[in-house]
Amino acid sequence: MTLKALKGIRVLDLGIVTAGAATSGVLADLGAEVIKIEGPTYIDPFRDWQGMGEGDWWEQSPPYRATNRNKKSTCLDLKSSRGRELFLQLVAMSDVVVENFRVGVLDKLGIGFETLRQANPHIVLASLSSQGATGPSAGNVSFGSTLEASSGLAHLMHYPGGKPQITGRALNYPDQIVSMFAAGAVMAALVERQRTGQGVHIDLAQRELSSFFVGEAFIAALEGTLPEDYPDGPPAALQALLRGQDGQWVAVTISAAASEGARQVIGAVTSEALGQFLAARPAAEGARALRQAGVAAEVVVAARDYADPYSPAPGNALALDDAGHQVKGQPIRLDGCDAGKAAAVAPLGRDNRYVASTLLGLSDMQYEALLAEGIFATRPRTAAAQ
Amino acid sequence: MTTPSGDGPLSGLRIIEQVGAGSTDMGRVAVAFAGLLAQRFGATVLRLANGAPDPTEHWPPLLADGSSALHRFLTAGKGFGTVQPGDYLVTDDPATAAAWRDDRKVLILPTLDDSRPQSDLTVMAASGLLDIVGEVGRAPLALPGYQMGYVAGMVAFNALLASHLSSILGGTPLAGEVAVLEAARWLNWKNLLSEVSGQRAAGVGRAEEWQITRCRDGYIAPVFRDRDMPNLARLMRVPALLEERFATAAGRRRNLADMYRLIEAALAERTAADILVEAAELKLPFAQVQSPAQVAADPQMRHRRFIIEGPQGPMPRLPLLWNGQSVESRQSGRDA
Repeated sequence: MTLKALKGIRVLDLGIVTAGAATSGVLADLGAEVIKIEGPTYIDPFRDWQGMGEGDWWEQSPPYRATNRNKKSTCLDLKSSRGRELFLQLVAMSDVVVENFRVGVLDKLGIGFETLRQANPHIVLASLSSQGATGPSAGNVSFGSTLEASSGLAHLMHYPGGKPQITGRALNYPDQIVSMFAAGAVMAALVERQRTGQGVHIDLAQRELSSFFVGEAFIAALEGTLPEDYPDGPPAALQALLRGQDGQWVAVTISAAASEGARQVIGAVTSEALGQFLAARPAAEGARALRQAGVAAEVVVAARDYADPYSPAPGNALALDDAGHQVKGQPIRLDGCDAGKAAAVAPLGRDNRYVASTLLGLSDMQYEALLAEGIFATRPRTAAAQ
Repeated sequence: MTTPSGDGPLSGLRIIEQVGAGSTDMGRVAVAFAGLLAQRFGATVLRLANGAPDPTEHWPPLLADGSSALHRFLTAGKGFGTVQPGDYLVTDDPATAAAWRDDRKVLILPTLDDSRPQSDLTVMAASGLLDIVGEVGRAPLALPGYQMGYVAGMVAFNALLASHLSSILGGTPLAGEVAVLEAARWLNWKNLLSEVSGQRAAGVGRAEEWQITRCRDGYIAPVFRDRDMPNLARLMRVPALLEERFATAAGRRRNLADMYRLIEAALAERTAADILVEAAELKLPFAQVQSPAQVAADPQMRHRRFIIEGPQGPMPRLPLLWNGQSVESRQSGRDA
């Protein structure tokens, strides 16, 4: 089950790993038909991550499974002229193409934006890259950590006087925000297309996006007033991270409105008073007492503290798929409904026949011939990297 | 960059931002960021004054004249006005949302399932995002700025667009709802998934293979994999990096302290520019840690004109080009 807002929209998903594939994933959650297209000589590298379990190695990766739920799968050789021809026929009957290959790869494959537009003047192409498709660094490869470094984010995150910090592989913050932002850009393009009839090439730079998320810091920096210690959140009467008696950290924000309530509990709205109050009791108890006084207070938890191997934690961060796996969720609710149970990830090429027959109008015999030629496939012709 | 010139992707769409008695500081930022995105994409975004002063006018970072860079960023190009039929509402005030005339609305809540008071910092605490950055024994570090409000605002913007698309594709508008805590946990999905799939997620204190490293005039973000170790050793002029213990990611994680002692010593007397030039030749995609001012002046960002002239001064444009042009320049008729 998915939400239904984008029902009738078809997305061809050339996205790989996180940025592109997760963008299509958001569109799938919102009701678009998403057809993930991989090639027999180039499957999504995410399939090769953390794979465990029996069966085909390319079907075992939890992060791949988590990102590519709610999609159809076809395996079509875009490096062959016949595969490219079939892809362009699909473009002609689709609304959106999403890709995050290295800049220039789409053109090398002969399916750059001008070619797509000739096949379908209404097509929306979302290209997600490190630095954008133009400029002296357009061909650069990046990772979450290097995007944090080169965008200004890392510069703003440090201990007083300390070295810059990054979220690194544990979070890769730029990779997480890009999928939601890019999905919004695609929807904006669809709104425009509905009005003008024109497709568009969206050239999204992840480095720029990371910078945009500290846009106010750029305004201050350009006027020479960027503070050394950058704020984290709106100002408060008191904000602190302090330990409870059990050593656990507690995050506390005492707003001006909550100051009187806090004063009644801790004596004075000072770091010292708050520190003494928390140090005298277990973290959870201290946080609870502060909340009862109207103060924002939470014990600092790790993912393991609320992850549940038997069912998704409350909320929509993870969802259950119809094979019983926990997969990536969707935080948007529409009309009182969430995206609900996800359709489990499709095995590679599972929907080849749907694509060949229902969409492209090929006969079974024609499909079998293309399968024999390797234009369509149901297994990669490459080995696992590990 | 002002909104109503009629040539943006969302031209013709009118959005009302409204805060009310039930609003929070975090929600106020989220509402404004959702409106910011809508405005930059060409919608007409109107703020409904509720009679109370706007506290974001005084929130950091502050500019030389005492005004707020945050307020400038969040409100540029928006206007004030009255509600018309067909307008969409973005609010974090449940009462305002309940009173709205139809389903063209998105409500941003701190959480979906309880009414605990929340702030950016406590949302990060409750989502696991404070178990990502920091040093063992020290208080964890929060993401900089207003990330929780911005992320929730981005999700709310998408909910609004999904609702609008539903209506123009033949359906009806769908009332949207977003919770900041859910959005924060959604960001943290990889760690959640690692836990539920039996691979203990690595929080603060984990053996992070790629660490920010000091050089003579700043900091470098190094990136390397197994196949890159010969080139890394060449770049550092440190043959010891070719030792077997550094050959695999697992080995490097076991010997992180030793490895970074070697790398830091090798980079200490070299400039970032020198390191990056040679790293590029060796196909090592290193990056320099840059301040916002350095990013703005970077040749790539200048080539793509990332900084544009807003109504009150320079600011970042939307992080994309639209058929090769900035969306904002299309609206104002300027060249990208």
